[in-house]
Amino acid sequence: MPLDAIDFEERDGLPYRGWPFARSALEPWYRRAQDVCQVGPFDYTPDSWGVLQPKLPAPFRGPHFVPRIAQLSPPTRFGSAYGPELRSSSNVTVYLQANACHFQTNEFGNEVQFLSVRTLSGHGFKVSAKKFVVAAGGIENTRLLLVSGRAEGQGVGNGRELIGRFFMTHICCWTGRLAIMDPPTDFYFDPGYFRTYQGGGAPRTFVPYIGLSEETMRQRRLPNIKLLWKYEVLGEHSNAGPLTDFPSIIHDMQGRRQYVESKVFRREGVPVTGTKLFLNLEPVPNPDSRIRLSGERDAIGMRKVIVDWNVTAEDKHHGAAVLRLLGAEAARSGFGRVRSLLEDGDDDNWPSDMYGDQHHMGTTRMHRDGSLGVVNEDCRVHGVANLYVAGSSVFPTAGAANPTLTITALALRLADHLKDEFR
Amino acid sequence: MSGMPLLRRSKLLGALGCVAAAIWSAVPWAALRSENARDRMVQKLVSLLPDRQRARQVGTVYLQSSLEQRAPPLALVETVLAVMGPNASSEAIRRYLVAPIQQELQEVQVSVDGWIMSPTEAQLCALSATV
Repeated sequence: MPLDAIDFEERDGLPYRGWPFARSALEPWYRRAQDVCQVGPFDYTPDSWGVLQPKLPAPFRGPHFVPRIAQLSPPTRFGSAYGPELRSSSNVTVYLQANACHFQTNEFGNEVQFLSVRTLSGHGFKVSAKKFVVAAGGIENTRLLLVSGRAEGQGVGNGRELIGRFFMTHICCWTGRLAIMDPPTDFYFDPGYFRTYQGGGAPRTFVPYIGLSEETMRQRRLPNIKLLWKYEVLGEHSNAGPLTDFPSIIHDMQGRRQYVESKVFRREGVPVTGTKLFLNLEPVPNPDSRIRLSGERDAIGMRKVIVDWNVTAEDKHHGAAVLRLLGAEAARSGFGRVRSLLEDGDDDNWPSDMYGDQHHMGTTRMHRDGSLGVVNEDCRVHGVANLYVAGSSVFPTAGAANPTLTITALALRLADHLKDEFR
Repeated sequence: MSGMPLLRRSKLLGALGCVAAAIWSAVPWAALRSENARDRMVQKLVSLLPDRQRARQVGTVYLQSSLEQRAPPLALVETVLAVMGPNASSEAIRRYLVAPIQQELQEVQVSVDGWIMSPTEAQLCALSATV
């Protein structure tokens, strides 16, 4: 799934945000990336996937919460999918089990001279090239740049000490519960559950989820989100406590019948009581969230990294605000009641199951201004003439989307840029 | 015939009457009537929440919270009395409260043990906890 247009924008009240270009500038490569990642057409409109807004529960028909979809790849195993093409290529040589360890620069640090490569068996060699592209992953890109350059330096292209800062992953946790007043029995809308779309052509797998509308993100200065849920059936309440039955307290206030009991009594439908809410939250870019080099070394002698992931009070406020808005919308529409686990007022206290996912981003962030970013809009390291970075480490803003499609689109764009440079 | 002379008795009865009249006039009948109306309104409001025990639990948590926007439950009683009058039926009150609750949910919500609700709903539960 691509990032949203709003993810590329600078925004009031949300510092360090914005890409050097709009999403529209990346769209030609997004379209090509769809094929590379073996997913369907470049169409993420829920309607096109059979998720029709009028059929959704009221809180998810806007204006604040809207349905979204993510396409799933088979998944693509790049080695087996593209290995044969690489093997048969006359101008590409692939070295496996060869670890890029160090970029040696000239005495001014503004040009890479060669790359040192080592193997676990103790062999090594050097690679010279006109241009180098680091594409080692969100954390490894950073490590390689930090350990490179002249001896005792602070890395290559790191004059502003920005490399390693702004480390981001999506903030994930089960953030609450939505007690549904009148639960659906057709399960038409299953945010978080894998679905198959049969319409027109081969069946394709996707996952519907709940997002915030762009207007709401702008007006309320909220980051992007992915909200998923898991149905709970009768007897499955996970948050037992004296107040778990708040919805039953206000049931009569809303003039509604006790759905669950009647369904169980009449043996109709599935006795759904509610859903557990899983929030995937875009983090605030934070310069103090960073990757640094450790004193320890790995098997080939490279310094290991310390990942110092820091979430902020602002992140917590954002998550709480999203849950509060959902609670208000669900209550106003009579759909249900939300219990938020992000309301304890303690900024450092997240639900115990909170974690950062495997989407490592931001540590060689892109910015036109070398004082604010590690790479420029062409993904070239500021101040180094022939060194480029590919991967999610260049994302200045994380959005809520899984990053693979954007990583692929940026790599294709960089490849086209390099082809132009060599012409 | 034994006892007080008639004249003395009349004077005494007259004096007692004066005292009674003075006491009668000193009683704050209006206040008592209003107190009764308030009590009746509290009962009507509380009756909107059928599960009194659970509502009381929510209300207790709300009253113990340190929410900046916490509103005193009696303020709700005064508001409904002023708008609906003392003789409004519970059903009429329920219908009246729907709009402010909807409005509040849009503009300002409170969280009681994590449950997102309108301040009026929280006040109703708090009333249950106070009677």
